[in-house]
Amino acid sequence: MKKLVIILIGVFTLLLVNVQLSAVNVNQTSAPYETFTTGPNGRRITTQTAYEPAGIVSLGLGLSSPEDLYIKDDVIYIADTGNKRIVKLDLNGNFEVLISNLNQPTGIHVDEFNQIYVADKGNQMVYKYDQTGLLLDSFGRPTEPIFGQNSPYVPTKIVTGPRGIMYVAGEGSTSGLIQLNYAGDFLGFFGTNETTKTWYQQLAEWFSLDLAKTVPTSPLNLAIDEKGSVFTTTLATSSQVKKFNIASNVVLTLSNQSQPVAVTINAFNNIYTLSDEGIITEYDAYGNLIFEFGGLDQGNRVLGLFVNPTDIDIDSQNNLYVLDKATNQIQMLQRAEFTMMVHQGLEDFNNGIYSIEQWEEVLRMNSMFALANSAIARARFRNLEYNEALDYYRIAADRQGYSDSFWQIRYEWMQNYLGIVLILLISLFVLLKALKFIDKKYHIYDPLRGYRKRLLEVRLIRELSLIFKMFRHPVDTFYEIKRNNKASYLSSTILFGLFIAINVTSVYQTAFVFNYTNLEAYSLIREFAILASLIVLFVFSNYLISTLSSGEGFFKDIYRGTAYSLAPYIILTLPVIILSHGLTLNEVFIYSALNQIKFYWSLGLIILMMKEIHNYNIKALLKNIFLTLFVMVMIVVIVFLVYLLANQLYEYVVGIIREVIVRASS
Amino acid sequence: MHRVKRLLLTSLLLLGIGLTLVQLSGKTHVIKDVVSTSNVAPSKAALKSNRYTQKEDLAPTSNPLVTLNGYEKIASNDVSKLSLYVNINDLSFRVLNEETGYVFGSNVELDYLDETNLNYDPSDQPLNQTWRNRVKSPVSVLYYTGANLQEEYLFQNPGSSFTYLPLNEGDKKGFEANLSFALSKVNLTLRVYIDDQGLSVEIPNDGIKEDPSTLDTRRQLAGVTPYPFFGSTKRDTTTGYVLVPDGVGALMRFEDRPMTGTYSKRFFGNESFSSLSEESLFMNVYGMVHGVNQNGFLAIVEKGSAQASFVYTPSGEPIDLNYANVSFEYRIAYTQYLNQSGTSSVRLVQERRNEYDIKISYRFLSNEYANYVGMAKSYQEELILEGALTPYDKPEVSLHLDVLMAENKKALFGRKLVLMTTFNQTKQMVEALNDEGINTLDLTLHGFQKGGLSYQGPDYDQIEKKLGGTKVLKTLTDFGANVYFQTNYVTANKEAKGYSMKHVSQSIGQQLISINDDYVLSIKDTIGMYESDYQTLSKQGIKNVSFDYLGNVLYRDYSNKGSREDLIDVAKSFLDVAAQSAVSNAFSYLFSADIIKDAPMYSSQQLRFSDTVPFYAYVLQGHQQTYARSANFFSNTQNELLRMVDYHLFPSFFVTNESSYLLLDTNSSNLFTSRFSDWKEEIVRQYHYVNEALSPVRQASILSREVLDDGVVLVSYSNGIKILINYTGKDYTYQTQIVSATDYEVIL
Repeated sequence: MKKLVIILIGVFTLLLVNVQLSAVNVNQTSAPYETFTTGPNGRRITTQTAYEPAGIVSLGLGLSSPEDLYIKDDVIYIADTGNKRIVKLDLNGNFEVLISNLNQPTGIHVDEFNQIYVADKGNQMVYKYDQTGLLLDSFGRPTEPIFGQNSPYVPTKIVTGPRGIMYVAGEGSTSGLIQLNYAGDFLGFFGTNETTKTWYQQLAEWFSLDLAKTVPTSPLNLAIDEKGSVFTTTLATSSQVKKFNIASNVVLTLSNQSQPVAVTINAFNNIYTLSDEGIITEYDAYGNLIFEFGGLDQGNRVLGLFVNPTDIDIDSQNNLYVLDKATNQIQMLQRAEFTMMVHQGLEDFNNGIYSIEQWEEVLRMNSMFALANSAIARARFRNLEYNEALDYYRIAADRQGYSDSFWQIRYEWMQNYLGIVLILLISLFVLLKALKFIDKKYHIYDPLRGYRKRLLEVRLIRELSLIFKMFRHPVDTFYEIKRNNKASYLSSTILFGLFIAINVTSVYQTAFVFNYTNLEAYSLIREFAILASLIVLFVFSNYLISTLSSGEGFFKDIYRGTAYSLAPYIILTLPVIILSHGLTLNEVFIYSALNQIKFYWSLGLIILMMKEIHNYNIKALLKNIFLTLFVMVMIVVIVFLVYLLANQLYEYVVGIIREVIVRASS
Repeated sequence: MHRVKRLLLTSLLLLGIGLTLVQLSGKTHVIKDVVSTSNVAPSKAALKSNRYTQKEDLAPTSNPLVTLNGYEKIASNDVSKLSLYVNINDLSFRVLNEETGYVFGSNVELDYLDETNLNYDPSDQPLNQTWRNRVKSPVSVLYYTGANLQEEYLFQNPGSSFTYLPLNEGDKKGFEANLSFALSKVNLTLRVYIDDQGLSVEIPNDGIKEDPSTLDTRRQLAGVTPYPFFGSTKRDTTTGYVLVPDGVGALMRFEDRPMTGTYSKRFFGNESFSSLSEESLFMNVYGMVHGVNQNGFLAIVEKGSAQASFVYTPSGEPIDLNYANVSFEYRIAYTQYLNQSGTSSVRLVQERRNEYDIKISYRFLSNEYANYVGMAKSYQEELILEGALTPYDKPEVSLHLDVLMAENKKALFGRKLVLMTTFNQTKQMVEALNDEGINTLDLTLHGFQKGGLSYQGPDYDQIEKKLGGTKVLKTLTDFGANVYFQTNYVTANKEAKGYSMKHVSQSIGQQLISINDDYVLSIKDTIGMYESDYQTLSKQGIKNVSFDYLGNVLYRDYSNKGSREDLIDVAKSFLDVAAQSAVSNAFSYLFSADIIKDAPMYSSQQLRFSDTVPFYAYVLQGHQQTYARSANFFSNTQNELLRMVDYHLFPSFFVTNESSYLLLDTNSSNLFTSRFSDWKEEIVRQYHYVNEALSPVRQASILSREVLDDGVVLVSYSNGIKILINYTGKDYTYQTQIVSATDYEVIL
């Protein structure tokens, strides 16, 4: 009995845990979290700890549910929301209560003149103080009519830009950020999020139905860079972080797996986001992910993990400070040597210095670091070292860069060899002409002709050679297949096999620039199964339908006809693959046009086949096509249903047996 | 027209082919060796955080809540210099350390809550009778009623009783008591005695009796905690700390109501997998200090540690005591799933009790030994007595290289080999390092088996032919390298061959234990596979074996009925087969391995901890070759090098001959940097940096480790040499010597 339990329960039930054991068991981190970066093909790979936990800087401050912090000149300003005050803390641990008696300060910002702006959610006001905490000005609800009577004014976060312009994020402010000038006059809404419509809402709109009005979500948090570009985070499933230029146009969007709650920008425009799951993500100025790390605490209050992180900021040494509302602490994460190296490279790049050594050092530390590979590639490209650039672009999976380098290499090659190639081609052409001329007189090609004749006496070869006829005389060919039996099951199956083989070859052999297949995830068996079942499904469904709708074709005819209809696809794919190695992205239209030609040609032939084999008129043909597709879909659905039901039944029976055994033995 | 088209097409084709050839002939890039390390000194906040050791308060301290009043002396021992006093009314006891005159108690006297008492403090929380009884009780038990866990302590119910008998067996002098619990209906024997080593508390297995009549009410013994309040102190009246072997070691200093909650962790990791990626308790010990360099003890859980957890509760709600104890487990409740999707399940309690003896031994430490260094020393002596440790006898610090030989990746059909390093290339690496003056080397070769590292299963009897044959291999040892062959008999990929489902460990709910794509195998089964593999391998000249996951995975296999304690014995027997054995991340029961790799360098960094201390490293210091984690993956190299000098750990690197970039599509893609040519200079530099510090003291023992200032550590060795480690970003002047920022200095 126990054996049975083990067999029944043991084999099928597994503990699923979110930890992947690598073949090489190495300890790579000095922190309670792993750090990831972007590897080749955009893959997420592990790397050295980028930022190490470096302790709690807010010890003895007695913060209470703090919501916001801002770092200016290495002084941390904290909106100590629960204590209704603003606290200032320097990196030596000296602290000072700057402003007290607020209602519910949730946002803080310090401008270039050290003037402090506070968004007080409770008082629904924005206050402006000088550096000593003396109140300079306060801004209540804008009175301008364009602000709207129903627009809520509940300031939660604030930043200021050039000329004292204030951007205020407000609760329920669905029109976007409230933009005020230095005097508090309302300038307009800024950085409005787009409304997202579901497909049925769009459908309703088409039919002019007024379902429910969709309003855009209001920005949650914001940041501003030195040039005055504003970054916002929004509660959404993707594109949560947006960068707006001064004209309120989106210039960059970033998507995050978890919900970002705060964003900040460092001196060389790297973007840092902090998510509600405690994940900190660092992007370069172009939105490429550099580092991703962090996480939530699982109850043991581990240094470096967070409970309810609310804000992140960065000091002059590029160390990170994370404010945790639940633990009332500010944790410091210190930049590691390796990160410093990466930053140096980025800073140089921003200043127009293309330092290959710098990035090679980064590569020495992580040979798969995509950013380093693309940076080196760009530098090599600038130095006119196209062959080297090509290698690095390849590793970085930068197809545009790769294509550009390849264009240069091809250009050089053509300059060197095009003449020779042309001469060779012309001489070949002349030679062939001459040979043909001689053949007319002396029949030197006769042995070849005899050989060809003997070859064609082999039945299979004769049958296979029929596909060439498909190109010029498709209707005749179908007639010969149907009436004269000029093709067999064997030859057709070989053609189907070739069709699958050519597809696989295309995946493996198409040049990198045009090849988007992820070989790691590519499964030969799956590809084979999909293509084979598609063929079987089509032939079978078509046969079913045509027998019902008085088609003349037998199963054999449909099978053979379909195989021979694939002729253009089979014949043209190989040249396309070869051609892909000579083309760059500039000539992508040639490549895609050829691909489309081979596809639509074969598709057209299949339709023609259905018409000819079954001897349909156009109306019957259309009906047949529609019904065939319908049956195909139905078969797939039924197979899926049967699979699901069988699974359920199996689990049900096993469950009952198990329960009986467990209850009986306990 | 037709011909022109054809011509164009042909020329395009030719062009394509030509360009492909040009492209193929382009060589792959070679990255230059550029070695530069910039130092990042830890921030002030970091130095004060639990990642570093903090300054000590050496002021004299005492525990006024523990006295000998009302206790009767029943034994004393001249070797351990201890006297045992007992109160036969409640079985509480006091241990007098004759050397210092300090008294440790099995609990504290609760009269500090009386207003008339000298120790009365109005800010202390009053205690109700329940808690008073709890503090008084010598033992508390846990039991299940149905699947509900309940606690009972001896003086909870008037129906409970005990008998007292004096104990006198050889040098063991103390008492034995039979306890009978009224609610859980459990009887057990408690033995407390002092001997030449120190104090011991035992609960023998055969003394435990569960009342069979309680089976009707389904009351089942779940666990037991002997003397839960041994060594407890009130709030911050006594300065000191608790040491836990969490990772490399951590301290929890006695604070006034830190409100951090109870710390509880099983010894030797979880019984089954947990997603919590914290460090384990690597050793079956804990320690307590009452006054640094004054008094302390090290508790060794000699029997039953595999089923035990260490629990420390700092002062706070509802009681103002800091107390540490070891809680032993007899049964667990578990969820039995009835179907694959887990939608249907029942909650059950383990049927048969885990049967094992319990023994905790306390070694008392006085004066300069009453600190974590003294505890490490005391435990080291214990391990030497057991014969587990052997002194380090190499002429210099040794260097360890992990070498990845071959991996495999997906190919059009099946998998293809990715050759990373051949035997010959390994030899060249060793030669190159010999030329740089590194002559003491340990190598671990990964993926030497046929087909490369991944997807191979516990099957190691064939050597991959492309590596170059065993003749070259044999010459490796001529260059002074100890070569270990990496095996994994603990986990295996689900797609691998060489094992069957019956070799996979099962959880108590009869589930196969897996960690994503890998099964956890039962080492009771795989030991046989290892023995037969070794037979074949040893004929090919392979003498030394290294084990992956053996060191830090101790998953109980419920299908084999063996306890976790039995598994420890099996794990130990893995070390008896090969001439020399290596283990990474080893728990203390495998400390007899010849080399220990990837030693922990951090603790779990829970905010309950005040300090990280090198307890693990100091237990092994001067004996087993203990290596730090692979330096390839350091992100703050200088800081970690200083840690190695401070903790007395030797350098280790992970290297390959080819670029690790080739591993991208393999299962070892986490090895993101390893090419030897990139790392050679750095290996040489780092080795010499560590060797210059540790070579002079490699055979000496550590006397003390003092924190002179935040981030400034002075380690004194028995041969008079001191090493001052300056983690900070500022120069430090020690006596007349200036130690530069983020550097160390050997002081003769």
